[in-house]
Amino acid sequence: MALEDFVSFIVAQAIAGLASAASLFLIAVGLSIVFGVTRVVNFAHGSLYMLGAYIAYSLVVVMGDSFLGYLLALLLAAVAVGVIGGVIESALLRRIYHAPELFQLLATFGVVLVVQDLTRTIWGPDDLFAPRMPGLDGAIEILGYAIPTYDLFLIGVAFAVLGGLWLLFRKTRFGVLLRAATEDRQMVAALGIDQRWLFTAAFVLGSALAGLGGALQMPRQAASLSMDLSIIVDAFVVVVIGGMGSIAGAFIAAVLISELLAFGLVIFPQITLVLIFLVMAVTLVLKPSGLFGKPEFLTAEDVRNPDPPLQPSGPMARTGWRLLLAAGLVAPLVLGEFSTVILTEIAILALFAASLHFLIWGGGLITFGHAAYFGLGAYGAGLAVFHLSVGMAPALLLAPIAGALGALLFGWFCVRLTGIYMAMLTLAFAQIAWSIAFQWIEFTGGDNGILGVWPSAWAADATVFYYLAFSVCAAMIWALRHVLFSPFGYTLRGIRDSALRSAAIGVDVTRHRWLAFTLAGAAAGVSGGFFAFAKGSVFPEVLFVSTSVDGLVMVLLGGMQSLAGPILGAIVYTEIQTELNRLTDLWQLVLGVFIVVLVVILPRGLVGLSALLLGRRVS
Amino acid sequence: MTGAANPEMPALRVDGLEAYYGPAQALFGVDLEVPEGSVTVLLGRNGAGKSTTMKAIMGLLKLGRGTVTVAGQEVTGWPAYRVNRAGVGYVPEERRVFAGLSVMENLLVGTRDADTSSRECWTHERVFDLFPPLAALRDRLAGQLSGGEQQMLTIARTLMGNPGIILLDEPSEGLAPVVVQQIATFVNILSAQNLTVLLSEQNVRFATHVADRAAVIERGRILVAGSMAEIAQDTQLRDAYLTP
Repeated sequence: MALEDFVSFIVAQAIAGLASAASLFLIAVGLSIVFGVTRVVNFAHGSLYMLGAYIAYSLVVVMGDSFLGYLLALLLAAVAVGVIGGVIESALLRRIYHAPELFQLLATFGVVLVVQDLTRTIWGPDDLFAPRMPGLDGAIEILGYAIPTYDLFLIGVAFAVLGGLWLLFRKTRFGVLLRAATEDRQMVAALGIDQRWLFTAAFVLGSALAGLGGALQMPRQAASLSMDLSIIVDAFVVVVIGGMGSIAGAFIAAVLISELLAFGLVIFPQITLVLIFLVMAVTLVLKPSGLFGKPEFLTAEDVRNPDPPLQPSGPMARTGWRLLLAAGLVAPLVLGEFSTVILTEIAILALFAASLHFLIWGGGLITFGHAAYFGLGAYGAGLAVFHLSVGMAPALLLAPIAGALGALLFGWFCVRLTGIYMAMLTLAFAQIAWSIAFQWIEFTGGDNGILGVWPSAWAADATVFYYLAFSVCAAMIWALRHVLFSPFGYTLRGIRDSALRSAAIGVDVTRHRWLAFTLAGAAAGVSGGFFAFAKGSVFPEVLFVSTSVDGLVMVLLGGMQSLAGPILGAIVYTEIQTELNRLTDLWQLVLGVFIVVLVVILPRGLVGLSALLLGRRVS
Repeated sequence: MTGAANPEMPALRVDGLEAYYGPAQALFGVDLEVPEGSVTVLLGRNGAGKSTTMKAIMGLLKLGRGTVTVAGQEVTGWPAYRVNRAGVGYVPEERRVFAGLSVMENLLVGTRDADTSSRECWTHERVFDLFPPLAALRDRLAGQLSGGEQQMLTIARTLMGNPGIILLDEPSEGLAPVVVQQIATFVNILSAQNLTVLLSEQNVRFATHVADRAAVIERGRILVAGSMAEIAQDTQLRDAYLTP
């Protein structure tokens, strides 16, 4: 390739990258503004983006015959999404500003599910293709390459929004208040500013930006029901790299990621995801708060909701555990085969939930991507059967190794962060694992999954397989519990309650967290391995964010402050899901509402409810 | 602040106030009266409950029993922004300037439209007259100011809301002696401008320079209250509960 050709190729790719950066910037900056002011990471931000695209589609169909009509349709879609955001904020988020981060993430994920089903109901399940924008449907030639004029328009909009936000934040009282609230909300209140108004306004602004991002994207790609979760993960990556709460950071990181994808797709199409992963990893190692983020300093007051100390089981609790064990052993003898299959699933998911509970409650490590290790276990077992034709036993032994290795690798990065940053990074890693499983068709079978992962002949009977899964999972749960009572467990809980104090007495905080992360990964891997054999197949969904959320809902449903919580949660949740699937097509909607209600009304879970009913104080 | 200045009605009155940090009780029935136009000092050691009392008055803590009354109006349990609008300005101990905002922007956050008070409204010019060093720093980021400058800025920021009473939480803490001297001057100026001041201190000497009334707090309760002169002369009290 001649030098001139090379230069013009670079320019063309760079312009395409910038055009993709536009929407990514709009959504990431909205997420960042909302987080800065309210400290809530809004999972449903991607849903607002999706709504922006769908609403814009409907408006464009009606009024998009001219350039101005089309433009107006895009702006109206943004305004509509802003209004929807305002409703969500005042109806839901306002109630959970004081809840722990994990609860907030979960509640907003509930909104994701609700919006998904509502969108499907209103616009149907098929992708919607919008007409192009009149006047911007052509291309102009730059250095021999045809560049779509709409791409240039997008780039212009991105710069206009960047400039507009700069003016808003620097030159208006409202913007100054938003910046002040990002630094110290309490002080802003003490100076006489009603925060409710400020929070709602910030949320409306962020939502409108997401809506605009979705609307603008629509002529380039079809409006589809999967765009909410795919964009939110990208937005998380952008915000983690750019730094939470930074507008410039969101812009630069969006450009960085989009250019990387634009060039990566040409140069190494197979490993673009890995490239993004590497950029994120390097950024976080060099600057954990992102390029433009302010580091969060640990202070002596950084001691979070001290939980009651863990007590060894009393006679009551011990009887309870024995009854549970006995029930698990007797149940398949009493119930039919269908129930045995469900029981197997419950036993497996109870271990998954317990390993998540171990991390969150025991280690204070907020993870939103625990599905990665569950899925790695499942894929480890499934791939061993598929490619190596090994039997069930060696495949099941591989499962925890796969889970642990994944956790060892991802955990190295994740445990360096805390709170919301950690939650987002764990999610991003899990989604990366998911897209690898999804895209690497030759190795994983992609969307078609791996079939024929059946138990060996000796365990082919449902009851035998149940007893195998039950005994291994019960033993693992008992082992996790045992770890929490060991010196390692005490140290871990010390770190959870105050990382700074633990470090001050000589504890290697990062290493303990890393070990806990790996241990939980191994346990999740075991449960994933059994899951593969229970289903006879492995699909990419095991790695998907919904699997992580299932685990979190089980833990929260059961109640965080008890080791029996995740087990109880797994039982009830699996039952509810089985029933819901049978009863309604809108199960996502019902589940979403259920999650929201759970977080708002019953933040202590079922164990908390029973304690409440018995009149005991839990904390 | 709708009530006109009434010599009988204290600017701030606290009765039997209890407050909590999470599950831990920190105030066990604080009684306090701050007469209109006075400079009242809350004296006590580290951890005695001075800052807690101020936060509780301001509505920044979970309250138990007891009441807070501002110029005759009960504000117990109100959110902080409404307590502020009722006429209470708060200057926190850690200063808490908005580090990423310029001096002018910090003042802008504090600005409230004065709707009632007969007092002259605070403006940038007036606070710069009061704190001349700030005028030259107006476009500087607050995070780049020295401790003394930040202390001036927090007071100035609070004044921009035209409070009737101002809560100054340990204004002298961590500042160089010469700056402490300056702060004492400012408090006297504020007082001369008809502003009611409640300040907290561990330093009795500083307190005697600025205050006319004092209350001694220990373990979340008021031990004794009276004129500054009386309290300062009580050597037994000083030795037991205060830093000279």
